[in-house]
Amino acid sequence: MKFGAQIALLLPLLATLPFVSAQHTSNWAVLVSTSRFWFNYRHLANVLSMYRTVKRLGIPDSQIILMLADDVACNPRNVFPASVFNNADRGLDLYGNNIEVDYRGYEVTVENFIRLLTDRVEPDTPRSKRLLTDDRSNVFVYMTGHGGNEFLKFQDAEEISAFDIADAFEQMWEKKRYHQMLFMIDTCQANTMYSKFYSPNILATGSSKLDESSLSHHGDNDVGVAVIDRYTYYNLEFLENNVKNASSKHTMKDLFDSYDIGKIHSTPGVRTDLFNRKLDEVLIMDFFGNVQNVEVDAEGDVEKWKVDAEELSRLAAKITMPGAGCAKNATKSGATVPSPPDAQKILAMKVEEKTSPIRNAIGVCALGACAAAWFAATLLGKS
Amino acid sequence: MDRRSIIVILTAVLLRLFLFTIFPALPDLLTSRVEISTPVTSYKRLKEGLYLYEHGLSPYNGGVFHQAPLLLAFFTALPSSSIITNLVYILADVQSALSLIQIANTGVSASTPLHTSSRKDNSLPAWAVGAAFLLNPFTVATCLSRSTLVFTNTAILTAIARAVNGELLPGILALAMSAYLSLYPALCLPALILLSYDMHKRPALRVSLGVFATTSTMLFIGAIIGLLGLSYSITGGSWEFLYSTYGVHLMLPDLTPNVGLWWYFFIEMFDSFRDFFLCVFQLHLLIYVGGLCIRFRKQPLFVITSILGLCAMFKSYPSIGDTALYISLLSLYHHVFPLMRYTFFATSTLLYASLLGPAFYHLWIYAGSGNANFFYAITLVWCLALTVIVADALYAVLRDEWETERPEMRGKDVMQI
Repeated sequence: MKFGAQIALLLPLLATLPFVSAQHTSNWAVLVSTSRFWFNYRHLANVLSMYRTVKRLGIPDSQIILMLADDVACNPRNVFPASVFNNADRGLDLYGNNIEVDYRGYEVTVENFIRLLTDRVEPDTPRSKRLLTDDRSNVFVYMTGHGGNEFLKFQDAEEISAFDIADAFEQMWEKKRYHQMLFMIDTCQANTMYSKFYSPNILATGSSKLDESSLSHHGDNDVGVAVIDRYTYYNLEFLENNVKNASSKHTMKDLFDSYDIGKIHSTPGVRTDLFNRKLDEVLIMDFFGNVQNVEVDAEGDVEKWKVDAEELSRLAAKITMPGAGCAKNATKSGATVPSPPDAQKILAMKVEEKTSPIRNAIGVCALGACAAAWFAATLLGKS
Repeated sequence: MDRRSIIVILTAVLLRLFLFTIFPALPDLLTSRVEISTPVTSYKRLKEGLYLYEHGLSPYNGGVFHQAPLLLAFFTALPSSSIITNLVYILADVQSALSLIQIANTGVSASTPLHTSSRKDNSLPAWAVGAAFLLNPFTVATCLSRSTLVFTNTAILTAIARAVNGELLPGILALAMSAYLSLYPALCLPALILLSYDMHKRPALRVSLGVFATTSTMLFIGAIIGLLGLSYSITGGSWEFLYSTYGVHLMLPDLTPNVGLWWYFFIEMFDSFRDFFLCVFQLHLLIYVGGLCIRFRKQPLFVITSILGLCAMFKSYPSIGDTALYISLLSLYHHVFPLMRYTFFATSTLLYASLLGPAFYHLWIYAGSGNANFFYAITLVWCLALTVIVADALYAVLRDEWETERPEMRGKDVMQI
């Protein structure tokens, strides 16, 4: 049925859209929280909010790389165990029970991050820990944590510099590992992190400029710490209020125009010089959602496509309805095809409410027979 | 039956009633103890089988219930109140005691037609034998836990009492019932045949031993077939109960710990050796029958006693109820106790094992600080104590027999050369 439904969806698309080679065909997200410890709760909440956003807009877990220290949900200081909230009203549990963290704890290191981006991984790295993008993948990279002038702290132990990320992105471009990239960063002096990029097709945005700190939005009195940062909070506000489903037509320009310095309390920046498209033509769904376009290899062969699609739909019908398919087969080929055996329905065992009187009678008769045999033997023995 | 025996029986009944009523949680506690309840005698499993039977399902389906179908019919026919059930078990114990008192009254342990012990005046009076059975803490515990071994013991003792009285057919029937309930009492058949042959009331009408034995065996097999046929009809016309009851005794699919020696062996055994060792262990019990019957031809009651003692150690699912039966039958041979050499050692070892067994089981299962080896070591000590008792009793009876031919050796030390 799925097969048939997909074919049904694609057919009208094929009929209307001509050759679609210039758009992206997959969406990936790399969401990194570089902080650990309880008091950096809000960084985890930032990343998890982004995680939930891209998930609800369609990107599957297999195309999201989530890198967290993941020491908050089950932290002994967490009054709400296994829950992470990004708002004091605790309306949404970000952690929930449907979360897939790919790099957790001490695996979130600079080396692992760069290896992930450039795909220079160990041969035995599982697929869930690899960024399996190609030249038609749009990648959304979101980073949060503690940063400074052209550096970002990783797990309070090491740093990554803006040059490192820029080089990593250039490697990705050389290896044709992205089509377009959105780089979003929410740290102190965030805009300095994207100042060193030099690869094409990167759209970058940050929360604060040089010598400016990014501030947290509010805290929860029961959790005890700040639960969300301002920049991410207002991004989420825009996305939750405006981008509600996959058919949203809001553009990145709308998003960037919604940034209000008075609310964010720092100067968010946008870098568009490496990005060759106009921002009012770039949909938010291009980066945050999972809209897949189909690439047609053969040019001008729409008729062949229609024939192929019809054959496929027939195949789908045959798979989903074996009886009909078999009948068609029989009439077509003329040979008899054995019908599939009737599926034996296994019903629940019949349990009676109380013993049937027949059973009782048999039991009593058996006992009576034993007793009778015993008394007969005793009498015989005595005589 | 004299007054003292009646007092003993009444005391025992009152004791059991008292324990059943004042400690209502005690039966369930004892049912869950592995030393008292085994997978083939447990009351809990009986209830499970009853439930399935009453609801029209096969009671042997779950792999939990391994007891004879006649018990299902019996308990279904009984009104289901706990008082009635308790009374049934108490009555079974009373019947066992009555049989024992009957056996003691005939004095056959000390003087059979073929042999008279020189110490027969030292035998215990009948009421003391009854007390040794009824007031034995192992028996009380088995009765309280409502283990179905009580019925097997009743059947065995009734069979012996009837045979001692010279009534062949009731004896054979009762032994068939006990073998039907739990497989191993069938080993007592040759000795029971010898006993009834010896105690036959009219020696003049006696046929030869061979004919007698053949007839008795035929009767036994006929009785077993009759019981199996009744079971076939009780379980709704299927033979599947055979594997679930006798197959469990023979093939040991359930490895719940008990006071026996088998479970530990078979837990750690590789599958390719399983059948071989099952044969070895079963044969081990079988080999004693022939030798004992031949050597103690003059005292078949002692053969039965010893076989029951060996069963208590070496059968697949023993419990302390088997030991209780053996010790009560052994009390019939009180007159040879002075000839036993290791009474103190054996008694203290038995006491030691009965006290440490539950402690080590608790350490293993509940506290988690011990492991199975602790408990198995105690069962080994338990079997050691029983072995010493069985071997010592054999020695004592042998020596007593020998002394009837050599009265001058009484009181003197003997040495095997």
